[in-house]
Amino acid sequence: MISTLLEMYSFPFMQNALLVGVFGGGLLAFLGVFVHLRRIVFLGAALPQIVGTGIALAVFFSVSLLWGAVLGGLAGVLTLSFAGRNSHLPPDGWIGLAFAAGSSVAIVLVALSPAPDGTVLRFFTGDILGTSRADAGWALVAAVVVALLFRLFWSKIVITGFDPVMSATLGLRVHLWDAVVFVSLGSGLAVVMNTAGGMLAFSMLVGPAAAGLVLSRSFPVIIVTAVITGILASFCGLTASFLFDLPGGPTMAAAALTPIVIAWPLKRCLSRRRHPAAESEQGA
Amino acid sequence: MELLQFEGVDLGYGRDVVLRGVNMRVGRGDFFGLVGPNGSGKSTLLKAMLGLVKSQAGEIRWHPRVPKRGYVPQREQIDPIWPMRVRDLLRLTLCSLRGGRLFGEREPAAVPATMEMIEIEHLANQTLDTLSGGEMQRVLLARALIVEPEVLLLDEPTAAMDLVASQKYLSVITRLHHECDVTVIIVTHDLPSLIGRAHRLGIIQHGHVHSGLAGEMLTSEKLSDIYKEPMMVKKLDGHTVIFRQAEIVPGAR
Repeated sequence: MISTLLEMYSFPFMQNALLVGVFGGGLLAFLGVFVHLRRIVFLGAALPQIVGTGIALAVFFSVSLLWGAVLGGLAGVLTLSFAGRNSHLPPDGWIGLAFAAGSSVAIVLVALSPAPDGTVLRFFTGDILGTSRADAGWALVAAVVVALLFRLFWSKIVITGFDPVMSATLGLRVHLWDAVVFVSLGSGLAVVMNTAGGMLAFSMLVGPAAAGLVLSRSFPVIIVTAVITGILASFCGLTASFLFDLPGGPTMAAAALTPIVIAWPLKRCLSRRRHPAAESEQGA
Repeated sequence: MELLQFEGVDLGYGRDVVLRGVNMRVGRGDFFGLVGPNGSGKSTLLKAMLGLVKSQAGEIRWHPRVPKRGYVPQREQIDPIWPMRVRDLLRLTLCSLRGGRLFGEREPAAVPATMEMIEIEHLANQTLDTLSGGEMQRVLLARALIVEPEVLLLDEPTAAMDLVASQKYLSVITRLHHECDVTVIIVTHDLPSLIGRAHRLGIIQHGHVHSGLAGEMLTSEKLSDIYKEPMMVKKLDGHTVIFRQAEIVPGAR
């Protein structure tokens, strides 16, 4: 088994894919905890579509896809974080519009661009096995920058997300800390989407974090669980895709969602053992 | 100079005006009660005091040395999905202002001291989603107090509490007002609960705020004028009671 793994990961394309999975998956799993807690999962679904429009624009103008993704991500978070204020349309409405516009405009742009057909496929499903060492480097840079930002400003980021009104009364700059979270989210999604596609990026964002939140009520434990789950899901998904000749991105995406499928019944089972009376009362 | 003064203030959202021509003042050390029915604009007025809603006209003036403010929101505003224990919430509030880490450092002395003051030590390790409504309200009070405020602003803190819990909560606020010399601004729809506690009252009716000293406001004439209904204020066994005259049925015992 070990020798199989060693042989598998001796290929540079597998090493690069694993590095993007570890850095990008860990980063998105971490940010996913805040996406769930701030109840902005729909924003997390719409952002990849807007990042996709950025990538499509890059394809259209034949410039770097990464810069297209990053610009798309930043434009998306800035627009969506300010849209809905002083408007009769609620924020969810703006996010829905962005989701629809992002996905349709991206397809039209790619169809109009002179790029070869394979680009379109990479754009939607990603091509995790086609990633370069530079892509992995960018994922590492994004993960380190986000980790540093959150390490330095942890209490401000958490309390402004938890209760923005109270935070504003304390003199905290709520919009600034919101922007830190949203820009981190946009950058993380852009870096992962550029190589791994929207499906994998969104699965990494919501899957591991959901498992952490279901399994624990302690903030540090939730974050550690989410990040480790994200990294393990990348490794297991990539390994399975190689062993069983499956598409890399979708297999990793499925692996990212597997922990919640296990965690939820496991949690129910454990809490039933600990509190049998409460469970039977609930049933009654 | 007054601690807070409203002069001809209009408040609202967009083009809609909720309150017109608000004139009122709050002095340092006051216990100010703001009363009105649901949807009358009480919370809007409180948010204007906090600078969260801008006035459409007029002027809201705090004392030049703006006091440190502690805000207790309606508990529905708090999302218990956040995985925080009571002591984490208090510590987090302190850390966000003074710096410091949330995890892995010694707990600041203010955390246990504040929990003791509000008598919530037994809730310290409970997560927010396990608290009852009354417990959550006490935790929110502790969170407001941990920043050592000079003014405490409370938004409907006793809403949905039963009579006993509500009276106990208000007693804690009254004790804090006396012992810690905190100015209290409390919003409620329950005027009788403020009798004997509030020095000044603001009563919102039909988009206008009528305010003054409690003694001047709690008279039959004044309340009848505000509510446009015949109201009676009586002393019974040393306690002030308020009722509508229409509720007195002739001949009933």
